[in-house]
Amino acid sequence: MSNIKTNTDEDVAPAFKSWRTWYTLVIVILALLIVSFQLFTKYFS
Amino acid sequence: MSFIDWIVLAVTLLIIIGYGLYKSRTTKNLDGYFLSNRSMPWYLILLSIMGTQASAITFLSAPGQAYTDGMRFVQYYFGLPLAMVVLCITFVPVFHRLKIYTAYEYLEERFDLKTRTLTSFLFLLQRGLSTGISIYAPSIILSSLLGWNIYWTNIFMGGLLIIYTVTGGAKAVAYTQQLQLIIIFAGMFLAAYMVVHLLPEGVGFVDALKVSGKLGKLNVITSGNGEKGFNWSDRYNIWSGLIGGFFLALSYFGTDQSQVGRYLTAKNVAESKTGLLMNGIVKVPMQFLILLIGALIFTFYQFNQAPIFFNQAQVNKLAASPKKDTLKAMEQQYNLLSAKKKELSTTFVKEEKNGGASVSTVEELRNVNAESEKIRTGLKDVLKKEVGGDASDTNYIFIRFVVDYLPKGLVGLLIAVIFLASWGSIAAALNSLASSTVVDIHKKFINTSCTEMKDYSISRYYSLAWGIFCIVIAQFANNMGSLIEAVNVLGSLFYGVILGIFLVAFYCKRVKGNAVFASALIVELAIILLFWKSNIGFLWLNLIGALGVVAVALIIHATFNLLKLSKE
Repeated sequence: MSNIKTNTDEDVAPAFKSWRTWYTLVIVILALLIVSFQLFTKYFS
Repeated sequence: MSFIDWIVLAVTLLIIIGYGLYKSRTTKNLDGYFLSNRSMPWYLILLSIMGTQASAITFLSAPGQAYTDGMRFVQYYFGLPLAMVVLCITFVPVFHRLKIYTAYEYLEERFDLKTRTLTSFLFLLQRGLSTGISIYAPSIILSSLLGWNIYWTNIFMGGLLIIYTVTGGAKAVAYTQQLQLIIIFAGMFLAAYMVVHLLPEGVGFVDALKVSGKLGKLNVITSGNGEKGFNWSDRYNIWSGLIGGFFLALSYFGTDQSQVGRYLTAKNVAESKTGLLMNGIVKVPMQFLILLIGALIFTFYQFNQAPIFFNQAQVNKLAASPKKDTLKAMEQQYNLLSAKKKELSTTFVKEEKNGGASVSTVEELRNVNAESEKIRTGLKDVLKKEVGGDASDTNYIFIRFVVDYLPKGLVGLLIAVIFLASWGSIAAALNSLASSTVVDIHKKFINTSCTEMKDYSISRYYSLAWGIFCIVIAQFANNMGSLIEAVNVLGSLFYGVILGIFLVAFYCKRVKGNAVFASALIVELAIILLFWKSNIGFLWLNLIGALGVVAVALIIHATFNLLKLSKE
């Protein structure tokens, strides 16, 4: 897990300060998608 | 197909081949041939990863899957974003640091040569067979629909891309995938637009969704719970998607050379990670939209006469058999129900617009659809007994709609989309099969002291040989039902074990080569037996395989240690 913090010259996260923010973003987007899909399923069923 | 469609198809394919050859003209060494000299930016990595995963089967089968089973197939991809995160933390930095060509090289460094060879062998076996299916899938559909000879279609489908794959290697694969995906998305968008456009006047996009939803096709999230609790043989539900799908995606993207080879072409580790994470963000919505096309086509056929069976070639065979009267009777019954469907769907939309459809209309519409489906199931049984061959028409639904209803020119473009989607994944697969054969087998066992130029020319021969092998497999593939499932089932038989080997390598530092090698063999046999003898949903095989290898390796390691201690 130490790699999360390792930012070498070649390993700089684009747009955010660290990769950790990227990882959180991906998981949050997945969670939002699942919630939206659940609402979509309920609304049209 | 009309003359305009032939022109559109030929021009599109020629542009891709020309572009692939042009972009790869500077490749002359192993690093360039297999890894594009590690020069690719993240957006090309993203497109290459997506183009490799999304084969023609994705675009042909997925809408059909939504038509027959609803949109719940999208849950299969829920584990993918999580897998991208784990890959970026664990696998990618290690692969980049070691500057390897194939993922399996790392296993020799961590364990020993036999574990590396076993893993690359499992990969070559699985990838070689599934690439054959990837060639066969679009070929059988096009040949059956357009009357083309299946053997020549296989050769055409698998043969043309060999021109730029063999010549240009990874660079040609990545650059053509970029152009291929642009054309594919444009084609799919136009197809989706046309479905809605062709709906009767007064029936819009939202109305179409309401019809589809009430008939159970917009079941994006399902729990997997039945009357007797959780149903383990249910293939697609949120849990099998999140857990089984996570292990499948981790294995596919982390240990399958056809994907590892894509992100190893990145200019640095950050570009690889960004490409993978962006894939995690866009994959689920993309698959949702492709499945939505299938749900919309389902609504379209509520208002229009649907074929009783979408593979017309099979119906024609039955019409020429002694069971032709049974077919006629079934068709008559089915057509009556289709007329009823149209009437009820129109009433449903009208009632919805006036404040909400009545329960009786919805119930009646559901009953008529259930009766239609019963007739289709009956016909499939008759087909199976009387005609043989493929008794599933899931793969034919989308392309049959395209050929029957889309305007001239667009049909040619959509058929080109099938070729390009197929080429994108097959080209990457051939490149990875060649790289693993050269790096993991040839340079280790056949000729250990190759020059750089010799490496390069041998790699081209192996790409060609694998291309021919996959076309031969395609000629023998038959009767496999939904082909998108067939490829994923085949992958699930091996991916879990391969992932397990890598998990031991990364997380069980004390376990050595002998323990993991024996464990992999035992668990692989167990997985094949489990699949053969039980009815378990295939996504779970990935979880069982991966955790099984870790558990058995730890047990063997502990047993050896105990024996050693008792001897001392």
